Amino acid sequence: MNDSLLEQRINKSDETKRVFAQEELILDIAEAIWAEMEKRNWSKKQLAEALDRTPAYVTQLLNGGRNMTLRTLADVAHALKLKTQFRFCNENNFDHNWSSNGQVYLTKSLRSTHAPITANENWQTLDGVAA
Amino acid sequence: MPLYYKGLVLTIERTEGALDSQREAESQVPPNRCACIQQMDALIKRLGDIGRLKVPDHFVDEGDGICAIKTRCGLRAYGWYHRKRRGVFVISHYIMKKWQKMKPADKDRAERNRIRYEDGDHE
Repeated sequence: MNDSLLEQRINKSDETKRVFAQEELILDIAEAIWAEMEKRNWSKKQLAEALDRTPAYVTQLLNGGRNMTLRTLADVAHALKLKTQFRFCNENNFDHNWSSNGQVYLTKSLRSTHAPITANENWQTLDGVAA
Repeated sequence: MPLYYKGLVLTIERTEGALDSQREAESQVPPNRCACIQQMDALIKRLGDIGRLKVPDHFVDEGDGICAIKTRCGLRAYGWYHRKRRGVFVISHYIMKKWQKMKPADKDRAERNRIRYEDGDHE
């Protein structure tokens, strides 16, 4: 099947693919954070207060204007009383069903999420062991 | 066929003038912020695959069913959910926006495109 116009743009060069992958991950994380904020009925201001930062800082985290380090992500998860779960997947076999929020999964309990990860050779957990 | 991306949830289509406006808008993206172009691609792909963008900094309803897909550098795409064909989102046009509020002219342009598109040959 031919690539759509959007996919042709994304796959135009190795550089466009690389930058797209960065932006896609930033977007997945931002949308996952927002989904958790919505569940709590939290505004940016409330998350900012929990992080001891300004709402503008939260805006920059969510729109990718500020580079979100793993430490920052851990702080956000901590503020939301969550943990994060991460895994790599085959670039051609992204599983949207793993988490409706995307690639990074914010969860209440790391252990409790082991169950839904059924055997799938296309996925690797953070420790490199096929789930 | 104005198909732009067939996502898992939504089909993204574009009006005839969308490509020209995209080229013009992207040419105005500052070189040090060119990742915004791929940010827009990621936003549109996610909209197609998930069916929505939740963060208001990414997607906003501008009223009368006209929506804006927003990047951090001001590159925006305006569009709407097709009123006659379920599961279709149509991109009207792109702009490089340096102001916060949507200009009435942009909303008018999107609304005119919507009427032309939905009443035209793209049924």
